[in-house]
Amino acid sequence: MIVIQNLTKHFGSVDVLKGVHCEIPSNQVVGFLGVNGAGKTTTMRILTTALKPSTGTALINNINIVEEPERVRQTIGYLPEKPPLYPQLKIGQYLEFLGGLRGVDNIRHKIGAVLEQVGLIGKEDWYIHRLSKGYRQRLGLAQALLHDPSVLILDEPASGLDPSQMIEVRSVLSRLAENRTVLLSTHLLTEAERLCDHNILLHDGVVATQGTLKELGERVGGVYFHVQISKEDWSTSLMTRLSTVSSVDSVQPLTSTQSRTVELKIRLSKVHQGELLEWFRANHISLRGYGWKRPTLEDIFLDVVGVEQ
Amino acid sequence: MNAIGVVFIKEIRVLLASPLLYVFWAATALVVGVFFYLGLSVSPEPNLRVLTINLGVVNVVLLPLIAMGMFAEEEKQGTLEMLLTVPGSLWRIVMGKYLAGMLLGSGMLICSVLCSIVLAWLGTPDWGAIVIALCGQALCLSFCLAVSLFASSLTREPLASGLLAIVFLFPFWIGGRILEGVGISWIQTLVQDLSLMEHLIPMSKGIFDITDFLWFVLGTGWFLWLTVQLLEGKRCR
Repeated sequence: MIVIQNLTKHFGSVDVLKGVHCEIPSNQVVGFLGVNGAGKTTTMRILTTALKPSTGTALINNINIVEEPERVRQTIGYLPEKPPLYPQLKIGQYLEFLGGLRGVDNIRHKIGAVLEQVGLIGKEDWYIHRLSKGYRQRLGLAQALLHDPSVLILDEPASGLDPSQMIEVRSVLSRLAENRTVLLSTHLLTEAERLCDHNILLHDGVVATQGTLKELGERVGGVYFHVQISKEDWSTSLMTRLSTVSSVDSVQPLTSTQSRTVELKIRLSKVHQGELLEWFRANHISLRGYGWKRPTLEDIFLDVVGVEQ
Repeated sequence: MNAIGVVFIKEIRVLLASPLLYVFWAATALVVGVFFYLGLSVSPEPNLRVLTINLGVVNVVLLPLIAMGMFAEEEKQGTLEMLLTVPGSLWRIVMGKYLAGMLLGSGMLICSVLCSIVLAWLGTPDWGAIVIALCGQALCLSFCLAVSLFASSLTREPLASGLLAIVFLFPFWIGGRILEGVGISWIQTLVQDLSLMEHLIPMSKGIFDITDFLWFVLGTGWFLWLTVQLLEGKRCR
């Protein structure tokens, strides 16, 4: 388990972390979510001991990162946003170097095992500078796994990958999470939704909310009704008029009101949506789509961060 | 294999892939050839005096070419953070890189050994003096490499670190000479004691003094220690 206790980090006069406090359960894939600058990478770099916190600390499997950084380094595997690779080396040479530096026993056997885990088996003689971005990401994962860490910290593992590479990396990560804690940061909410058992939403240097997708969904009100209307039908008075409908509790735009299709999140007092649909027909507003929706991470995220108007 | 050996092999592989190493070797061979010839034409005795002193220039100006990327390039491509978060002492990394630099930089020593063979063919050299001159070249290489490694750990730009190394080494090279006209004797003595030339010249003549030897060894150790301290600072910013 990872326990983060009131972490703060200042770079000069800039407060990047303003008191991050959370608990990360063991053997789960945990997503660190947030917009750029929310403090995800800084928190991760503190957990890897690459940075010292200004105040606060964290315990990784009961080891204090400030007091015993050497022990923490033995426990974790870390993949930064840009995989730390030497383009001049071959895959096998690179892993031999890192395994030797980390004092991994039976290195040849271990290299074979991690290459199999990340789907690079048989490619030991490939030069790193010739690898595609997806393969580089896999090799970055392989180096993080070489010493069999119980905690894997991955900073934006799917960043910059094309859809097929993303599918590859996703399947690798799912396999890896079977017997270790995987902490990954991402701003790709769909990825987090597919991969993570537990989500921690960072905003402006603090934890805005956290929990499983179900828990987070309930926290923002659970299932809701959504409608899509054209930009031409949208007006600020529409919101006021909609709230006068007896079955409507609240209305909130989900997308920017400047986009071609505006999506509205409507909370109804009754599960039956007939009255609302009738209201739209009576007001000559054609719906491009509608239906009941379980809150996605994106909805939760927008609820916490707010939507850009 | 221990961690120093692992870093050493990795560094050799990385440096062998760099064109700068071959530029360094070619320039070194050229400088050795020119100064060996000049040495033969100005001195009636077969020795490595002129060559040894002038190879110091290669160490000051050209050695930073191969050492400049050792840490700066690591930082630039994001691998330094990985090395710093590997458990264990940073001495292993610094020593591995230093030894790799010594091996690849010793191309100039091989050229000097070849020159010694030519001297033996031309006359009867004083082999004791030649061995001491070669030791002087190796110690000078070691000191300049340690300074270049330190400069490389200061910045993430390899070129800037190469220039920094030259800036750091230059006062050591000319230190004794610039204050020749200054009347204050203790300053002159201090600067001369810190001057690389003052300790290299006796060795180039075949004179072995333990203080010259210690100056190079302690100087090398000091800059390697500074490099480790600097990296240690980066490890827990």
